[in-house]
Amino acid sequence: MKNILPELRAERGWTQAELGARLKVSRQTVNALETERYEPSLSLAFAIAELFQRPIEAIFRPKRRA
Amino acid sequence: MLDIENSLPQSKACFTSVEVPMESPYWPKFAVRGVVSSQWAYWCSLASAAMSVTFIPPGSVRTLVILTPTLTALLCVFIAYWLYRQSDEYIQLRLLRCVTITAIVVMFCTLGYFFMELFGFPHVSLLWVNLLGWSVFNVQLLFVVLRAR
Repeated sequence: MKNILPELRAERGWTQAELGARLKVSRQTVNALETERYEPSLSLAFAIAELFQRPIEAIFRPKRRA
Repeated sequence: MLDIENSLPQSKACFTSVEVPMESPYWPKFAVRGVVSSQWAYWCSLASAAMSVTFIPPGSVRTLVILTPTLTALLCVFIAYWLYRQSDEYIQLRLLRCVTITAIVVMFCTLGYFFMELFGFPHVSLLWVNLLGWSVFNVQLLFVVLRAR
C-alpha cells in the first residue's frame, strides 16, 4: 500500500514522534507506515484520515500489480 | 497542544492500575524495568529452588521454596501480556513475531532433547530449555521495546 504520509507530515512540519503522539502510536509505527513496511488497520487509517482531514483513499493507495 | 510530559502514571499504588501510554517518553524505561526485574526474580527463585534440594531439609519450607518459581514465572507472563496490551498495533505485530521465533527455538530444543534421550546421552534438565526459551523471548522483547521509542 502506497501512502503520502511523509508529504502530509512535512507540510505541517511535524516530526515522526509528534505524528505518533497525535495518533497515539509509537514513532517506530509511523516510520514503518511511511516506509511502507506496514499497512495500518482500518481504525488507524481512519485516525490518520481524520487527523489530516482527508479521505482514506486520498492518503493510501494500493500498489498497482505488474 | 499535546501534553506528553504529563502522561506519567497517576498512581503507583497498584501495578495493574498503572497506565503509561506508548507515546510517553517514559514507556520504554517503564517496560524495560518490568521485563528485567521480572526475569531477575524468576532466575533468583529458580536458583533458590535448585539449591533448596541440597541445603534445606525435607518439609513444608523446602516445598514452599521449590514452588516459588511458579509465582515468578506467572509474573513474567503477566509482564509480557501487559506489554502486549500496552503496545500499538505495529509493536503488537512485532511481539507476535518474537513469540513465533521463540516457539521455533523451543521446538528445536525439545526435539534435540528428545534425540539426546533416545540415544542415551546424559540427561539434561528440561529446565534449560525453559530458561533458553524465556531468554530468547526476553531478548527479542527488550529489542522491540527499546526500538519502539
